[in-house]
Amino acid sequence: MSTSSSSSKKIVLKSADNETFEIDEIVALESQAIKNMIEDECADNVIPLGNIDSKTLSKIIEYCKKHAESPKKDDNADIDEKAVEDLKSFDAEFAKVDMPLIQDILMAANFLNIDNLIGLMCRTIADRIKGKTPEEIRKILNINKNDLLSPEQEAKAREENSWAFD
Amino acid sequence: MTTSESDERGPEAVKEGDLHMKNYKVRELWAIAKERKIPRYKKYRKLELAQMLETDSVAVKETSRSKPKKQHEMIQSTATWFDLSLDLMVDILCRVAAVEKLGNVRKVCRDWHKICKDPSMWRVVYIDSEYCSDCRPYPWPSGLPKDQVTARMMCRNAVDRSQGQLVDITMIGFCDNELLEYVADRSPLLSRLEVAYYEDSVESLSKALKKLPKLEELSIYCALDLQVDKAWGSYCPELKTLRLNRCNDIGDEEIIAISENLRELRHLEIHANVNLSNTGVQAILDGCPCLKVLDLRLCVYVDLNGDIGKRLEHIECVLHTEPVKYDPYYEGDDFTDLKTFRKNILDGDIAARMSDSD
Repeated sequence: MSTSSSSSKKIVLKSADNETFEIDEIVALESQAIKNMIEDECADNVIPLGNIDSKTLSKIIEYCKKHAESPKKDDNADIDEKAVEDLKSFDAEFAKVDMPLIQDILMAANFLNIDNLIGLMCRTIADRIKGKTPEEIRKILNINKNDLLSPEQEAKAREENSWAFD
Repeated sequence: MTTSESDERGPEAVKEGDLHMKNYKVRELWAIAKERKIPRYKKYRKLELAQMLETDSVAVKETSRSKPKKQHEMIQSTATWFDLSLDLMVDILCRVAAVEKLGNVRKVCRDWHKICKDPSMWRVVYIDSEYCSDCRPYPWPSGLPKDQVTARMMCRNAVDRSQGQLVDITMIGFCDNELLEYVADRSPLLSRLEVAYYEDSVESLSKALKKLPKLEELSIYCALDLQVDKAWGSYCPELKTLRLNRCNDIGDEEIIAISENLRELRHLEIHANVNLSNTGVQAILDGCPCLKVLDLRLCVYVDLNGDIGKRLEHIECVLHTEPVKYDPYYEGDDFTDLKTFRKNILDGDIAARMSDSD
């Protein structure tokens, strides 16, 4: 995963399945959690990420690389419109994956504290449940039956808005 | 999920392996962490903190001082993803349209039902009972009766749920005077109002605007018998954006009246109007010195080529002869271009086409 200039500082991330990814520090800094670790000097040479598998981690690194390379919004008043468009279409392409992977990316992004990526994944999920029935949504998101409304809650909700259940 | 609730539970209530902690809000976790004197607790992500608080509180105190992150960052539990974080669910549901939350989403599971009870979920309400194609963002949820009565009931319900926190509402295809008043009476913070295909004659719009002092953006599309009032600007002193698109009851006379009090206006859109001429445009320019965008596309009796053109020089964006490439409330392509539009009107074709589209 080390493709860019050799002069910059490298960080090594290790996935749950023990695959290592060497990336530029600037890419790793997209993650607020890693940034905090580096600042606190509690990051060793290798940062183990025991709950992120290599498939998810490589996606996240792909995302961070792209976003680290792109000009930041608050840097400059006149942002290159083309760069913004480019990033947008990258994001759209990036989100075209199946739901389990989206969920894994979202959890990992939340864990690594990568704000933009959390937003992108949440937006994607919101888009995918658009116009669906509760049952369809449960299926899409693989929501446990134990989490369903209790009969009492359902009855109460029915009472609140009879129109919505008819 | 109030702070007092979490305090009651306290450290004693948390057994090892009890994963309930993660369902707490981050502020509640902070409160507990503060109580337990965990140093720099605000620096942790929610999950780490939940994890820390769930394990033995004494041990946490000792370890957190030295290498807090490494201890906890790597052992996060991954049960089913959906009970992982309420924060993430809130984040997702914030991006789901009100109409879907009312209809289907809140019935998905217990957590979602609970989240949907929070007024903050209802700050933005978008209900579209006329949804017909992909040109607008939110389809009507499946399994609900699609009629105006239902739409009005849902809208009232959403407004009730917002408990006065509503800031942004879009009503497409079902709004009437009564509903508009209902919204205005209960939404003192409303800053954006969009109404398309108004059902009644719009006499109560002024009445509603009187109750919306925070309104910054007002968009009316395709309204019949729209009655404007020169006091609009004084009712809504913060009004910066005004759209009166495809509203053919507005003409020079109305525009002259309304322009009197709109000194703060930055963005004015009047599309596809056959009663506006340069007289009205003059009044706009006199009345709205701060205008940055003036969009008069498809206004066939406006001509910006003459002397009036010089007065437009300070406005950043003037649109008139450009085609309307995207109109969420009109699907045909024959009205998008000024030339065609003008020809249609001259042919007396417009009325027939309007009724066709109904």
